[in-house]
Amino acid sequence: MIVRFNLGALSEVRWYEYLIRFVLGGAMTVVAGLIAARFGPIIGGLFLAFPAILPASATLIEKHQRERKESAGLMVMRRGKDAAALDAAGAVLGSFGLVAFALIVCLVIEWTPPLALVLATVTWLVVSVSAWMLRRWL
Amino acid sequence: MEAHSMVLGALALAAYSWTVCLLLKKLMVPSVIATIVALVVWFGFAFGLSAMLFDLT
Repeated sequence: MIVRFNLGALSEVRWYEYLIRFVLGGAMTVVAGLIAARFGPIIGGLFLAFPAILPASATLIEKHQRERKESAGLMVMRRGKDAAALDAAGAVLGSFGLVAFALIVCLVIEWTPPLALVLATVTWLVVSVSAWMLRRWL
Repeated sequence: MEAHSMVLGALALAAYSWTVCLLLKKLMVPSVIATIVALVVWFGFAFGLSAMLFDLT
């Protein structure tokens, strides 16, 4: 399977499904902050990369694919799991980007915090997209 | 220090995502179960690597 952009898929997602993702992401950020305040920066830092959105995302993608096939009169369970697995494969690539993001923050944050975040975000994008392109090429 | 630790969390996230992918693709586990079961991998990697590299006490 090849990972591709599909802007049309945005319209298939219901508003509350976006809400679930945003709420989970925001809630996890707050929880990571609380954990850092209670248990210190080492444990808090781990939870900055806690899988908060992937469980909801994978579950919704599987449900969408299953419903689409059922509405077409097909009983295909595999398709939904394949789509969710593809989402998880994309998350692996994004995780490499997140590793690079955190490494750049480590290196630059003491010099200039605002620039560190900009540089780290650009690095995340470059590493994630490069990993995606490399996967396609392989 | 938090960013150092985030590197380990991100590596654990890669392991978690790969495990979810494997459970869905190879074992055909429903995604709800796969994403919950794989949390063991995230906690194992994150806290295992942290225990090796940092003093958690």
